[in-house]
Amino acid sequence: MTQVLTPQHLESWGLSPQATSLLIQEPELLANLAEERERPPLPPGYIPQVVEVLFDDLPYIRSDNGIVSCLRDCPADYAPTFVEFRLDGETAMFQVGGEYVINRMAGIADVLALEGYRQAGGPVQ
Amino acid sequence: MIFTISPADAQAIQESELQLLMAIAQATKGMAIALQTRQPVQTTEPLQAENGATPNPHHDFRIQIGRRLVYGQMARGDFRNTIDKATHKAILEAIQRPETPDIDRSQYQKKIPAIEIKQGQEVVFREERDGTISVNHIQFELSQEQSAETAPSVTEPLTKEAQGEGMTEPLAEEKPVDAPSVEPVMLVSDRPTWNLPQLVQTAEVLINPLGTSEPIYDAVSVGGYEIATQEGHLTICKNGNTILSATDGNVQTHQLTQSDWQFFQAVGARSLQHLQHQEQDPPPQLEPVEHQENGLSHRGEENSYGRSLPTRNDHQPLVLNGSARSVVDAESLILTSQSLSNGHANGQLSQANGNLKDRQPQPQSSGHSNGHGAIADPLLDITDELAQQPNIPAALTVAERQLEKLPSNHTQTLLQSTVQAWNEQLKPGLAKGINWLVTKAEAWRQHQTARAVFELYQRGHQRTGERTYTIGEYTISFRGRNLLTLSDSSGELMRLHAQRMPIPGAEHYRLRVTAASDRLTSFQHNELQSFQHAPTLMPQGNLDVEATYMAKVAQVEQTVTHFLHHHVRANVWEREGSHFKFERDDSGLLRITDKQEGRSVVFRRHKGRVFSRLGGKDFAHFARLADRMQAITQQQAPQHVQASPTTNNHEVIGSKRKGLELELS
Repeated sequence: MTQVLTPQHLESWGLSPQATSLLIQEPELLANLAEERERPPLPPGYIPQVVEVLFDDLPYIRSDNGIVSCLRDCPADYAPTFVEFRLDGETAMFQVGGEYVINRMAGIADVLALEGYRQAGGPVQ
Repeated sequence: MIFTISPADAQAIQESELQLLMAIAQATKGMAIALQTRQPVQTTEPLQAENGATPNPHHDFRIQIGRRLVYGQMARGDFRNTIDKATHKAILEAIQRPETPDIDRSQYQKKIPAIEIKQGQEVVFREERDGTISVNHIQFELSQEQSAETAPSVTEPLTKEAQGEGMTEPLAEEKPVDAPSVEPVMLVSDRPTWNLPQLVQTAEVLINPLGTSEPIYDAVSVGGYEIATQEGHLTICKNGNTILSATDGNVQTHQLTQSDWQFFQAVGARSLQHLQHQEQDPPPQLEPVEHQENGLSHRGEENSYGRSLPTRNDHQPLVLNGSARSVVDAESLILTSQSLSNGHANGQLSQANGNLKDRQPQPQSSGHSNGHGAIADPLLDITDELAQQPNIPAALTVAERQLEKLPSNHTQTLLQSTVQAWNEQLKPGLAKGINWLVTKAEAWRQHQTARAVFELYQRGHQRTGERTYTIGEYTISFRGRNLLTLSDSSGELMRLHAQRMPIPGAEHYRLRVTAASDRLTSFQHNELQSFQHAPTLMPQGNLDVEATYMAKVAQVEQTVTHFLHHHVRANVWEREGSHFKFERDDSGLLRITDKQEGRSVVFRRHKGRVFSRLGGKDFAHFARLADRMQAITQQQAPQHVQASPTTNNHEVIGSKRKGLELELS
């Protein structure tokens, strides 16, 4: 049974009214996000095998072991309302406009930053 | 069912979401009629509307993107259409892809689809999130510019005549074919209940289920029958043979059988039930669509988040009236679509209608609209896409743009660097793009080599259109639909699958290494990648190899003939310890016999037929001989004027002509 969430439910999420109004129009998506928000942050050091990037809930980019394996074409001026990064099938980051609805990657990102990770630094052995 | 669309209609479908929805509606409706007995595909989604009402299987047509309903009746009764340009493009490209073969559908149970289209309770199309097409009953296929019967196939086996005498492999014996079971053609007197106009009408319903003035589809394939229409002329074919044709009420049958009749009778009966059902349960009446300007109901108005807000009161599904045939109100569709998509219903109605009826064939620019079928030979796809200039895939650009909006923190930096690395991977000729997700250096190296192999294959295929190429010591072969193998003289080195990605520019294929030999050394990895980055280096196909070989053989023939004619002036030449024996006669015979390696005759031209087993070492040998002869000719030129010509054609054994001993020994 899909939980029906109201704007009042979303007040605790700390989102802007604009973001809230957009989310509230997608009841199935919103209910799922409410569940995902309950999940713990991803552990620092965790390296996923599969990363998917979804625009408006449709996968557009997929990488397997860091290598782009799937791409879906889209208009160059596409401005998706929702952007989601899924790591190994779990929502790791969900973005509406310029706001995080879910960010479970902060720990991973912080540790990588502390390790002085650079893009050109080569693969993690 | 495969619905064939002309390139002109395909272009229209690409340009207009209305056309796309019309096409899908036609396809789903036709499928519902033809395949009513098919078991619905099991889905994990609740199929019952939340208000308790069971959806009408003939009236509700729903498109879901992930967890979002983008077209169709919402649970609370509102009708939604939030199909924008990107969604339209995604759906159109997805439905042209055939079902992925050999998949385990159970693994997708309880999973959210990427795209799902339902006609009533039946899933007619479903793409999974990993790109697998698990269901596609409405596959669109663009009509072929050239029929399959006339188009030569590179994989077509050689006929006996075509193989020529050079073939040493014996031909496989033809297996006896069982006599086909021939169904008796019905005589007129045997078919008292036949109603040909009814059969024609059934065929028309199948090809044009919504009964529009001009069917979207040129052809539909159902139950082994190909139903096609062109300029009012309808044909039904079975196994490539026309069994019925109809023009302006004039029906002609050819070898129509009882089973054909039974098939169309059954489909016709289902069609009738279908229509009766509609009459009993009329759809909502059409109401003029009002262009609402306030708040959320204005579909065309974008908010600050760059998104059009959905209309709340735009209950305008695909409408069927209750007349004798299924007729969609195209105007209502236009109204609905236009009003939902841009909020200019009244102003653009006539223009949209004109587009629908008066569109002209236009040159196709997309890879999907090039006149090849949507599931055309991947080789063609490769070639077509090579013509496009690589660029940054739009999805990556969109991702970068969206990530810029996030608050500046480590998460944003990590995600941005990840997307940037992916971007680098897709730029041609660069081995960059390593990112924090790449945990295995070997996997990365294999991927780079796979890319090199694939690009080298593309380079060769673009030039000669073959399936096997050699470059250096390597052979690259394309097998089946998407398998590439890399091998050397000792066997296979790598096997990879190239799966087409629906994206123009940049890298168009997902490369997956399925096997890599331990023999593949670092040197070979580097060598293949160096080949890839040397644009002038061209892999050679069989045609190249054959042409090059024949040119080398011709050069040897010329060298030996010249040698016999001008240097030893004899028909036969051999010397003790020499590698070869040369023979010729006045009838045109030329024979080269190997004396040292036991190969016997290595070249023979006789009565216009050429046999050759000359190899690389031989070519090198005769190239040296040619060089030496040329040098001697130049040295002796002044003396040659004074020398008396020898014209006898006797056998010369152990010629001592100066300067040739070294080369011929």
